[in-house]
Amino acid sequence: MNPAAHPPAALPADPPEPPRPVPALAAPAPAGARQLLAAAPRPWRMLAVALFALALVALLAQLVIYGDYARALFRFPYDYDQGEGFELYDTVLHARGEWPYRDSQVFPFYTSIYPPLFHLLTVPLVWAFGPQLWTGRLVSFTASLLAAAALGWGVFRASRNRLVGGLAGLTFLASNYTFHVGPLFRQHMTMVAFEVLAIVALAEIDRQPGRAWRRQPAFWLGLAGLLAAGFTKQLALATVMAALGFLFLRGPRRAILSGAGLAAAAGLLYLGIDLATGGQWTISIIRANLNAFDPNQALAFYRQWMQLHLFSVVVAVARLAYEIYLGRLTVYGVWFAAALANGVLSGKFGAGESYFVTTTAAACALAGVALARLWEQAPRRWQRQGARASAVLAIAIPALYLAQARLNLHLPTTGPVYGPVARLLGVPTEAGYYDSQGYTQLGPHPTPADIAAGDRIAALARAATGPVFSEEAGFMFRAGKPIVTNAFPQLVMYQAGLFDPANEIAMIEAHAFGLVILRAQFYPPPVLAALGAHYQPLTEIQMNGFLYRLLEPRER
Amino acid sequence: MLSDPPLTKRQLGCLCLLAGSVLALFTLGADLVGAGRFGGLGPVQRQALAAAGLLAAFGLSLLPLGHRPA
Repeated sequence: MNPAAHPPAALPADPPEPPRPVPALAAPAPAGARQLLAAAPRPWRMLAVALFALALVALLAQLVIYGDYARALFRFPYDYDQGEGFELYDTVLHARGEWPYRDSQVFPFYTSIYPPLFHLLTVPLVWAFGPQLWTGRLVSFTASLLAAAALGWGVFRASRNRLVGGLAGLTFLASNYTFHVGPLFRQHMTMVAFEVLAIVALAEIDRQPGRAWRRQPAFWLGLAGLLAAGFTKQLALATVMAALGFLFLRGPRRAILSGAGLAAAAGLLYLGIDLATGGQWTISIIRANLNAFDPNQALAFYRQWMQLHLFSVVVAVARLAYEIYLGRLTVYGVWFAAALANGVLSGKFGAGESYFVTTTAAACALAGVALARLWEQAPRRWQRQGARASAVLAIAIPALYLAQARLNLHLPTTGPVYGPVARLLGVPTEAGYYDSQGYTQLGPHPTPADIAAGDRIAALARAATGPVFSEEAGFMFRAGKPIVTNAFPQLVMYQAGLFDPANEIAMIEAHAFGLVILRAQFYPPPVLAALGAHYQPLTEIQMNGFLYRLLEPRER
Repeated sequence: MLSDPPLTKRQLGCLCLLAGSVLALFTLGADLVGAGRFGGLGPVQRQALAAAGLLAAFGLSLLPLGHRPA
């Protein structure tokens, strides 16, 4: 906050007089949280300060839990979420100067279905430290912190309220969804970080309406962020459309030119990669991502997301309605609407809760702006009752963030610190981890027993003759074996008629693989049938709550 | 420099109404060109028509708001 624009106000000994109506042209600079709190009557102020402190403590505690979870994952050398190892392999290929977009119908039957930017950002760490899963997890975790910081800063810039900005950013990090996927070796959170940076940058256009867009660095930063988000994950398309839609509202001609420029830049990059990969880029990135859609799955995700983020969503929806019918649409409002609509894609086969992380970020940003502005404008908006309204908001806002934090509560429930805290909060402790979402695959810390189980699987892979057919790549890096197949892309490409498993089945029938490692069995049915016919159970090992089935060649 | 004024709420409403109408026409016209696997309205068509209706209704609701900036 600029101290010159917002001099610290002396705390009044008595309740202040209701402010007089101020002519519009002489509107004062927006007041910060400290001034607004100082203006409240003393008993109200004490309660408000206590509630703000409580909300901050609750959200900072969730941040500490998030950091501890990330630290636990950094130390875990195997796939925690299926697909992490394959993203590490994408990074390794980029580090070698090779594209991961390949013909998956020839050995080693591998291709990637994600754009390259996240992997390219991780390449320097792989060069420096080798193929370690913590490298991408660190990049992703850092991206989530960056997204939260940018989000909080955006709310602050829109409202001059540092306190609400901070709470908005922390609320994003406290979301169950952000928590689960933030420290994974997945590209999703880096995409969200670029999206947030782009939207916060484009919000600056409204702060300088008289200045040409092309002369505003924030405008170019916004476009660059959109391009980066799109080349991190395809799901960013909704944010790109929202940003261009916002620009269209402010200046249709300039928006069309901006969109054309952005499309040209993205198109050139796209064509360049497609040429370099002999067309495999288009097959892997676009055609392999057109999966079957289940509306009931999408509805279930919408329901869960709304239950977990109820307070943020209600405020954001109310603000959106206000902007549409009474005020003026902001970039945050347009972004929230687009992200909310884009959540429908969570009905795609293979989609998950991560599809709502952008929506969560947009809801936190819009709700933060709404609450901060409402609080700041209360004295002028309600005139005689303004002081009382401001005092009520000073209590309601932290109470709302506190309630939202409770909805998102998640923590380990055993150990010298977490155990007593969990008992104090009254959450069930038997499972060792509590999540308000209910059962989750992501969230619990991997244990030494999980690492030992992973070591056993890696040792069996190392001892196997020839390549290993593994549904997870993390074991192969530890075993020093080549990466063969990428299960999920293979399955969706098979469903789309883009993958003929004949070559792979021929190698399975020839016992070319010394060991098979299965987890979710996300392979095309003919491949699973061939594995069942030509391989027999060797052992089963449990890791992270999942049963890994290891198969060896059947005797002929 | 060419004038490039912001969109008004009425203009935004007209655009949404137009987009909803075009989407509805395309959805209903799909059967005329033999697209789709279902006789009558298929599930995707029904969803698209619902989206078109919502978009058009949203556009209509903006029309009375006049020349205020969108």
